[in-house]
Amino acid sequence: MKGQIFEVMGFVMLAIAIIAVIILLRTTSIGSFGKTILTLAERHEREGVSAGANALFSMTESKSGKSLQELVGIAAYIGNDTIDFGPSISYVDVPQEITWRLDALYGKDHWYMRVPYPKIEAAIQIIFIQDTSSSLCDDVENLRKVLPGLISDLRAAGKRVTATIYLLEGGSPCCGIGSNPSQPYVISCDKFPQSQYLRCSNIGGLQCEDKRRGDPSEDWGHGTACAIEAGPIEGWQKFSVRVVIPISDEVPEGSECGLDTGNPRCCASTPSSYVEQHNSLLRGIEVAKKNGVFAFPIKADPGSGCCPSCSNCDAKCNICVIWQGQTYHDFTQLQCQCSGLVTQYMTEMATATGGQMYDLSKGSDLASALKDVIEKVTPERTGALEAGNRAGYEIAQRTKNIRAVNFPVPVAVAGVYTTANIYEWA
Amino acid sequence: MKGQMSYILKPISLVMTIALLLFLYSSISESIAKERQASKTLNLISTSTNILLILANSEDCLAYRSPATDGLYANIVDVTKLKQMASDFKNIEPPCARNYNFGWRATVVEINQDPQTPSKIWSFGAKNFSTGPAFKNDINTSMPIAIRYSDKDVIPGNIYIYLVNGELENIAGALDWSCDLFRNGRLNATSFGIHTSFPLSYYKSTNELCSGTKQKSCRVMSCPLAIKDIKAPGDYVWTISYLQGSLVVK
Repeated sequence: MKGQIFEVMGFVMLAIAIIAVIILLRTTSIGSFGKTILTLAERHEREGVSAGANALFSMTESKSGKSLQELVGIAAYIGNDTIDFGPSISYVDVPQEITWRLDALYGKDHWYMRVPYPKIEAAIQIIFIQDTSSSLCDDVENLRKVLPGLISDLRAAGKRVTATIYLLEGGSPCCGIGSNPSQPYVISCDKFPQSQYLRCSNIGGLQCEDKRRGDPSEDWGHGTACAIEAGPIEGWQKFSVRVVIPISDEVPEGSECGLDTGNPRCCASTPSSYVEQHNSLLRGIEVAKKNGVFAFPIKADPGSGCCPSCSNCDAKCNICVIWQGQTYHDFTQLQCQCSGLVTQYMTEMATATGGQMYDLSKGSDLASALKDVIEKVTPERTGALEAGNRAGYEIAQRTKNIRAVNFPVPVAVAGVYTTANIYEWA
Repeated sequence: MKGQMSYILKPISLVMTIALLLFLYSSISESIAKERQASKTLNLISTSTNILLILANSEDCLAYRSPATDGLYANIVDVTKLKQMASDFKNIEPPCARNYNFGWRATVVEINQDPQTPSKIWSFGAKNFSTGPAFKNDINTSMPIAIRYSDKDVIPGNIYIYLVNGELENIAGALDWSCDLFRNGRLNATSFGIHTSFPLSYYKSTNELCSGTKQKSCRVMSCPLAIKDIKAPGDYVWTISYLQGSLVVK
């Protein structure tokens, strides 16, 4: 009986062993097949994500013709997702351009992209258009005192500011100004301590289409157009913040036009009679807008600050002028009466270009006005370019298998690199 | 009584043991067959990825080479090459990405921001594939690319591939493989076994090998063939030689 029991048990054990071997074989085989298929599918997905990233950065945006890699690089340089390419191309919204492409390649809501922006201070290039008529001598002297120190301080604080002063041609010497008031004061570039960041030049030396008309020393409308076309002495940098600051106390081409003929027209007459002055202004605005330049005109005191009524003020508001070798103490009533129109014109230019007008005759301080300009034009930088489904990415990070691709992006203008991090999930 | 029990149990045990061993043998055989099939499926997935990468990244296929930098750009497809390929390889896989185990057809589709704008499509590769019992498995997959018209016009696209594992693809692949080796002088003669579920016929005028009875699937061959039609399904062993630019199949 024992022998039979052992015999049956032996058979049962053999059967169990064989069944175990079969189960083991199948489990191992299925497990290994499953793993391999997952690995291969994963490889395909990874290659797809890399291919998508490579392809994306080579694609071009239709308006600017630039590749997405260039656009991300420019956005990283200016620290803004939207790039302004001027009036002909207009704005390019970089995340939007990335979004529709990656939605098509990876599927909507299945990806997220982040490009940290490097810390780059935007270059701010300022051009001053300086009226050189004798009534501006005190303002030029003031600019001479304020500007070099201001530029040095701003640069020491990390701001990449440069300034070019273009002096309008002509202008009479004045007196009673500067360290030696008895000597004639001639507005010239010698007044300014020039450096790599502060330069001065006479506008007459520039090659430009716009010639100054009327009184050339006061035609800051055409002068602005000419200076912008020529650019600052170091040239316009790519994607710099561009600022033009005309400084004058008269309308473009002068407020006293027609005075020599005994028939003063300009602002003292009907607007149609001073259309040329307005055209000069419009030309300045047109060129500024075309070149993406902000205008911050500074209105010097045309006498109205000293004499609001503009009449019977000669004694207290006289300007010392040297003309044809003779010294005159002069107050121009016509110029004073044009104060409102000067304000109107300067405001028109500022509004059209996104800038602001400063009225020094109303107590604005030149130094604080210039600091204010710098503050206003310094672009606000965002920390990073982001596109895609960030919320989905944060959830997928915890629950799903995410594929990540890092792509170097050159910030060509600054000579540095940043990295585009692209995440994709099923 | 004890002895009688032993006489009954021993043969029963023997029969059961033999039955178990036979079951074990059949299971192992089945596993091996399944593994072979699985390996083909895995190979299909892997091959689809490889072919897509070759198409998009090889200069011999579609990849754009910049004359300025003399460099290739990953996943940037040159539209000139794309047009040429779609015109030259309407019915056959281009040699730059030929696979001798599978047949495939690729389609490149342009992506537009405006879904209303009709997309441009280019297609190339094998025209038709094994069907019915001759068909084993297939895969349909894609990869993102950029299509380059000019420096300032590079647009998004997808390249899709339909890859098929079937008898016609295996047979034609083996013949094309032999053809390429013969042409390069690396083979004198070869032989291999084939299995076909349909009759096979060769059309000299179009240089096509076709499988099927009424609805035939045909493939353009790399070399002209000197071959007798196979009229019945089954297993065959072919001996291949090369004579005056043609494959002689016996």
